[in-house]
Parts: sequence; structure tokens; C-alpha cells
Amino acid sequence: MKRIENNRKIAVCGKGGSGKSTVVALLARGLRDKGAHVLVVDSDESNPGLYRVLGFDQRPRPLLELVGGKKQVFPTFSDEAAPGESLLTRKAFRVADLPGDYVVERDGIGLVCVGKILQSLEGCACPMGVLSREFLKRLSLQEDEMVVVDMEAGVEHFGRGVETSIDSVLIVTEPSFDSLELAEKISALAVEVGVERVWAVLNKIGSEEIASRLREELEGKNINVIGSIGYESEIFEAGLEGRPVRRDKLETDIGSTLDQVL
Amino acid sequence: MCLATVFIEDDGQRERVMQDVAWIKPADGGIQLTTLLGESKLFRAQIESIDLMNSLIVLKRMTIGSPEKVPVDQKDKPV
Repeated sequence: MKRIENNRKIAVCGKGGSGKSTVVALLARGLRDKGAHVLVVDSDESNPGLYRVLGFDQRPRPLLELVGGKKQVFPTFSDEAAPGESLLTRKAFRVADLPGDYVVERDGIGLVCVGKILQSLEGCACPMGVLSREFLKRLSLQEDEMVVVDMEAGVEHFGRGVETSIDSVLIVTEPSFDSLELAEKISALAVEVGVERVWAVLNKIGSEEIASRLREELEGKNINVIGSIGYESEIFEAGLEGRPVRRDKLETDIGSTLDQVL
Repeated sequence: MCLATVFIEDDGQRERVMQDVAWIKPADGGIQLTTLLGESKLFRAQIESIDLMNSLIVLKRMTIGSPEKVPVDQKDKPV
């Protein structure tokens, strides 16, 4: 595979329920098939099932535990000594440096998980956002490695600066007014923090007419549409069962997106 | 953003000294700040203001008995 020079850290953003995790999985598998070693970063503190969508039996330990865990912050910090150094205090590290229980890997795709909200009243997800930003910033990639980030829904991650650490933003857009409005907002925020490449991929597209209307709307907002995924019952069945999508029908759909990303 | 950005005020000038601060503790001669990732510094300063709406904390450098102004980056060493 040729040396990957651009788009090496891609954030997949969009409205809740638009299909970010599905696109992340299709993208990861497609890039893997083209020869890249792909690390998927689960940066969504709510969505529980990405590991299953990727075909793993269990999710890895959350990176938040590398810095003491959210609940452990005060017991850890109340000691006289400050928290000890960890992988994340280094200015740079590689995928291969990740401790074994913090990454699961199979067939050229790895998965790390930043952290999840587990209990009511435990507080906000800001620490996860900071951890995502710093993890992505300090992660140094080899020439055949790529990172695909499953972002939380909406735009709060921009407030936490996560996109300052990534190269490209892919906005998953479904046929709805809210999804289009949010795509415009995400595009503007991404440009504002200096992301050079912002694209949209259409999802849940039931007809060519719908696809054309969405393309027209998005291009009117200066957002480049690089792919379109059909309204496939297989995707909904896979989502219901919490399993990977069978890609037979989707190879063509995701193909143009992969060509643009690589 | 709930984690704090910390500034230090000295002679009317504000300088940003730390980001992503998760923990603040009074310590001998000043304030110890520790980030989410575990980086820790001790500042010879006192808290001037805490703005939780914008996650900003301003420290004011103490001058009594500690006139030095040069920041020291070493962990746990008073600044």
C-alpha cells in the first residue's frame, strides 16, 4: 500500500442516529481491505455497542482508567504524591505502545474506547473529551496506519477541542432537516478549528431523488458529498442484532467514499 | 468545558500557565495544580478568581517572601 499522507485521523460526526457507527465500521473495514492498519477510536461516551458493530466480543478497558478513572480521581489525587506518569503523559506514543487490555484487535482493525458514562449523577463527559483530544494529538502513526474516530452525536466535542487533533471530518447526513442543519454547523465549526478537509456522506438514502436533493442542499452549504449509502434493510437488521453489517450490497455504496478518503 | 484553564497574574499581566486542570490543592507556599493526564505543578500564588461558567481560574503571584517571577516547569517545584 502506498504511504498514507493525508486524512490519517478522520472524525466521523453527525446527528444522533444518523449512522455514524455504521459508517465508522464500513470505513474501517474498507480501509483495512485496501491495506491500511486501522485504529478505531470510540469517542462516544454514550453509545454502548460499537465494539459489536466492529465484530468484537468485548470492548477494551477505557482509556480513562489510564489516568485513574473518573470515580478514582479524588482518591488518587488526595495522596501526597501527584498521579504517576502513564502512557498519556508522554508527548508522543504509537499504537503499538498501547497496553494490551486497552485495545482489542482483529484482522487489521483495532479498537480503543475513551470512556463511558456509567452512572446517573456522575458528572459530565468533559474528561472524556479532553482525553480524546490529547490521545489523538499524541498518537503518532506509522505510514500505513489510519485512525477513524466515532464521535459523540452533535457538536459538543468541538467545544472541547477534539477536532484540533484530527485531519478530516466526515459528516454522516440522513434525509432530515435537522441533519442538514447540523451538517452545516459541523462544517463551520470544523473549518473554524482548522480542519482542512470536510466531507459529507449520505445515509439512509431511499431513492436517487432524495440523494439529489440532499446533495444540492449540502453543496449549497459548500459541503463536498463524497458518498451515499442506501436505505438497506440489512443495516437495520444488523443494528437490531448488534452485529457487523454484511457488506455485499454496500461495497459499491462505500467505495466512492473510500476513494476520496485515501 | 469543566476542566480548567489557569492563568497567573503578575504586575497586571495575565499568562496562561496550564490547561485541562482537574485538581487544585493548597500546598506549602502556594497552589498545586494537576491536569487530567497527571502533569503537576506547584505555583507560589493564591487564587484570585474562579469562573466556573468559562472554566477559568486566575492565580495571583505571591510576593511576600518569594519575589522570584521566573516560572519553573519541574514537577512539584515551587514556581
